[in-house]
Amino acid sequence: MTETIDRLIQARFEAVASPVDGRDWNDVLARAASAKQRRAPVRLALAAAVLVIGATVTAAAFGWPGTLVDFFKAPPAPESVKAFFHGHNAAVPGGVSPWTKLGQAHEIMTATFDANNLPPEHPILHTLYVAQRNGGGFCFLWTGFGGSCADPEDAAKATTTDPAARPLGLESLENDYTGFVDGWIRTDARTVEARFADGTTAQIPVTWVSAPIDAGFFAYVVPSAHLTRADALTSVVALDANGGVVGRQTFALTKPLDEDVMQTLPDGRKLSLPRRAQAARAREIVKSGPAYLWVMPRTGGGSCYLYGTGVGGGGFACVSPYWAARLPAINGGGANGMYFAQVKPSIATIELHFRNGDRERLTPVDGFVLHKIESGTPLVAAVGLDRSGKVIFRQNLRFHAITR
Amino acid sequence: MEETAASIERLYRERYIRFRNGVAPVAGSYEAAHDAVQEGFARALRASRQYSGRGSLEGWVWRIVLRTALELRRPDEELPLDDVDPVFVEPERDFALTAAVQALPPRRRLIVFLRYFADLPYQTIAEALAIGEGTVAATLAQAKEALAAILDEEGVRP
Repeated sequence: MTETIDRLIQARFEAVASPVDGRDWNDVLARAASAKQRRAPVRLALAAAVLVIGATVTAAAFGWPGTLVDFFKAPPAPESVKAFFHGHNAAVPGGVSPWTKLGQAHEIMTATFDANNLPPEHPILHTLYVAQRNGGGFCFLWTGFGGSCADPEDAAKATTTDPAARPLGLESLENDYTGFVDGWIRTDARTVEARFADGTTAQIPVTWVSAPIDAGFFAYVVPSAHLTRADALTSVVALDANGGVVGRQTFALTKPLDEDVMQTLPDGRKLSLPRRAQAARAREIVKSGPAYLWVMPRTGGGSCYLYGTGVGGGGFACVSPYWAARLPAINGGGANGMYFAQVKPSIATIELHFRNGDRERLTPVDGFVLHKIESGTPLVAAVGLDRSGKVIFRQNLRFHAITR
Repeated sequence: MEETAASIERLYRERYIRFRNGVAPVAGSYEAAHDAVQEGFARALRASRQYSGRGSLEGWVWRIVLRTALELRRPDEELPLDDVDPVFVEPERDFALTAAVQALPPRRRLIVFLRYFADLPYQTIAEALAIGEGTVAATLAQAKEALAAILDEEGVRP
């Protein structure tokens, strides 16, 4: 008996667990090799002009194309930035050796980009600060965007699919395709090149920073002519003096459907939703005061819905045909005086039953109900009736205790 | 050490989805859970020489992944696993099951998630949470009874 219950409960859990497979062992290896800290999850951006700050000399004198910043002569970082770097230092997770002590921090360059929109809408000025780590390597921060720490030795040892190349310390901002990349390279590289799906390339300007940093930094806006599948950025490579590839980072042209991207609803509202949810084709089937319910097609079949109660509640979900077949006839619940349910086509009417005997009938719209509870007593059940008025499903709601 | 690293990779390739789904209630979302699994396995790789061989490798990696999920979710405080309050991710998929699970005390809820979302045997759950296997068995027996009763009352039979 216990085993039967165990199997039945297991089946219920398996029916709701996500089957999406996001395995990426190379990402695990890269994280392990670089011990790199995560950035704030900013997703969309585009950059523009880069301005180098501080004492610079022509890097060509050192054999590097680009600009060289003398680290110790560059303007010192303000206290707030130093505090960020020290906070970053303290955030090293348990079980991992902490970063070595941070040394000086200086302002290196500025760049203008929009960290929130693609295409850019409100580009602002961001400043790059770099801090020395006394044990080697460095930490860096783009204000208003994010920062990271880098151990060049570890990065050099990291493995990639190309044994001749190591991954670059890149962060990218993407919607459908990569719109902005920033990163750093070591001094064994000479140039950085953007490569596009249409076979064209572009050189990315690098600002070199002298010892003890000994690295080049760049921030690159992908031109607007390279934001479609046919011409999108496919890789950024670092080349040595002989043109040999010493570093490479590739960008996938096929993006995971379940990855959140900024989308726009037909009413112009922008929000982050999985790529799979076709927000541009959404229909608003409930709009009652501050409450709303949008339903949109789901790539691969089924539908996605987005609702808000206007009183702090709401939700978003995508329901594949597989899930839809396994949902109860009324899959409902809610809070804060609102009742929400997804119902099967066999349910023509939902009758809400309240503890004091009150009843309220609702008609689903396109398989959904979003309704403000008017009764002052708790909702105890949602009963499904077919077209002839016959009760065909009952969901007791003792544990939801929804009241006005 | 290389042997341990190879075993960690094998574990990742074979059990990624179970890890991601099992840690999602602690991380708060599937996206955050993916990040915790990636970061947790990276930490396990870096610390693979610290694996003593006492207890299963999977239990050891689970501890790291769970701790990573907690750290990523609450970076400003050190939260012991005992205090974690796991939530049902995407409750819209099954409101009745969500309500039934949320009615359980947090600690029991976590064990239920590890058992049914991550498909972990009792021994691995015990290792992951550093508790006795008997405690896991007793807790799950109580939780199963409660779940069955609640789902029955909800009118949606398990």
